[in-house]
Amino acid sequence: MKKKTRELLLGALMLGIGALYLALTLGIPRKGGIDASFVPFVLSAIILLLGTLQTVGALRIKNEGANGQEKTESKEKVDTPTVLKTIFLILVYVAFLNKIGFVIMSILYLFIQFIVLTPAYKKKNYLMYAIVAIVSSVSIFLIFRYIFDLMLPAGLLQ
Amino acid sequence: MLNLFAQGLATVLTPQYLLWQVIGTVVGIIFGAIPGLTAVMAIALFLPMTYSMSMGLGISVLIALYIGAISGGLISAILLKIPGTPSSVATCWDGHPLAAKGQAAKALGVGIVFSFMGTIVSIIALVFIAPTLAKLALRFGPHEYFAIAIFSLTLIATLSTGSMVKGLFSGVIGFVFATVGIAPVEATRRFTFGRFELNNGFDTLTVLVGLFAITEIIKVAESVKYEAEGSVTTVDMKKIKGFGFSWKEFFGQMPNFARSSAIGVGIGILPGIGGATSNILSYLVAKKQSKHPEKFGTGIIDGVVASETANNATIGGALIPLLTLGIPGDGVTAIMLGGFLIHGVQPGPMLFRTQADLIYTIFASLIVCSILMLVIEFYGLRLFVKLLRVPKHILLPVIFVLCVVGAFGISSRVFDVWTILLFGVIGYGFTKFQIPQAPFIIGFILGPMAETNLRRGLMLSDNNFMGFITNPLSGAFLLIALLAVLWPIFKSLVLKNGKKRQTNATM
Repeated sequence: MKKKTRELLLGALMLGIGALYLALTLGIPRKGGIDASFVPFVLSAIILLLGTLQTVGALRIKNEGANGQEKTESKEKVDTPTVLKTIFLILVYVAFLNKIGFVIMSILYLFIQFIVLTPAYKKKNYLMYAIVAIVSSVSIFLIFRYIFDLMLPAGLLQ
Repeated sequence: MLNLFAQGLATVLTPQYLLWQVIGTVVGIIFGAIPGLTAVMAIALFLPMTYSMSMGLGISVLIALYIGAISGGLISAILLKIPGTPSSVATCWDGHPLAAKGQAAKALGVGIVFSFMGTIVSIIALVFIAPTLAKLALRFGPHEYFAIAIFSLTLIATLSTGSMVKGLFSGVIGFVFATVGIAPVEATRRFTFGRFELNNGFDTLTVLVGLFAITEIIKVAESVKYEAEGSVTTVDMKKIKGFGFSWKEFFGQMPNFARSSAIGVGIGILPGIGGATSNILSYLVAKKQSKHPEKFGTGIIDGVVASETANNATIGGALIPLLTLGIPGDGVTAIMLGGFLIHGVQPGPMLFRTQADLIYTIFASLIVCSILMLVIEFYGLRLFVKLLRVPKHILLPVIFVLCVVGAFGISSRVFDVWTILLFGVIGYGFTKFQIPQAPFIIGFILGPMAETNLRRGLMLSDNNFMGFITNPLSGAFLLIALLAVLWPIFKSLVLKNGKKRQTNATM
């Protein structure tokens, strides 16, 4: 993404967030005078002001084309598939944490996550991954259960 | 005072305390040393283990982690040329060239010893400044607290990044998330969307873990697959006497040491900037003041001394506003504050009256942990160097699971795990738009303090805002806050007129 596009997008997002927060603030029951909605009103005003400043500032950025400052932007390579896979794994893990239980979900999550994150130059060592996943999940559960008095969701293993 | 201090020392030297402080220091150093793991993570992950401990013990563990993690960053800075934490960025600049010359052990020895001495100087500053400031702060009313909260918030937002708009936005959004739940003063429910879990708002800990740990894990996913394998410089410890440097070198560094400690403590006291700034500033000042500035960057111990003294001296400095006013300066002190609150300790001036014994336990623990850091870090070096080789793709998922445990442990509900994910995604979004995360957390913590005291102050003066300006102290703080916002605008206008286009003029 070019710098100008990115900064403009941020300006628009900021204005959107400001407007959303203002709308929610209008829904707070009023008690007259200075009440619980006073500070949220001030905050929405500040966000809208900052959003305007950001948008105006972004519009002033000159697109420098292929050379110049764009170099630093293109330097950071983002491995989007891995990021999305990781976020998906995390969501599934948390969603079933209570029902299936901490130990089973952690073992599954860790095992798959290790595979997803394995660097390209390394061989995937499935046996080692399985051992690390099982040992760490079980020991975290037991340590918290018996030493730190924290009962993690047991789920199916109850 | 001496009596209380002796009591504190006796407490932290009992075997149970000592054992936990050793564990805390070791874990702290490991988190500091491994790039990608931070002091905030170390404390966040260890917090749930302290839930069942007594107040004093729990807080001593957090202190051990804090000191260990800030110092541990020098190991990877010197051996990998990657700062383990943002606090040791400047350590790379001379530490790694030293290591490349085959003097890794000397660089590490200097770094560790001056980390220790910087911490001790800052603890002395803390012990003498904090009680006096607390006495003064006892007289503060809502006007002063409101102004100090606004002052701190503005300062962190304007100092932490190149773009003031983004810094302020981050701080205000933090404040916005803090308005969720039951409002102060008349207890109106706000922004809860009918969910009872939100009545008490978001827990500080979930915000911190999300913003600083989950964000970091997603960021690793961005690059871990195609990263080249790093190489660790090996250290030969066999021929080393003492800490690897001579007394002459040690005494030659004294002026540099004194200046760097002063910079570290001073930066620590200011809200909004911490170790991440002090090490770089101190390095630059040392270079400027040096008789041989051209040697900086080629591998001289002066650079390591400046950076490592200053970042550790920030610890004691940062604890001054934290303990006396309840105001955290950066992410690490914010999570320390979270830890204090979980153990039922409300930092503030009253703490020095009601729980003086705890204050002195904290002071004693700081000193004991610094000594433990000195010994463990130097003699355990080989172990820590080995841990640098633990692959990230194994480490970070396990750390994520521990984050989940920590969030779940706050009140035994999965709801808090969802909130760490929410804040993790927000933090990741912030990095995409180059918005700093630190103002968010300070806004989240200081927002409610500002709102509560604003409402209280207004009640005292029949909804008249003048009270905040006519009160000398609050008026002065608000004026400085206003100037902090106006100054960069003024400066950019002047710069534009002078045709001097300089980006990143602000820090």
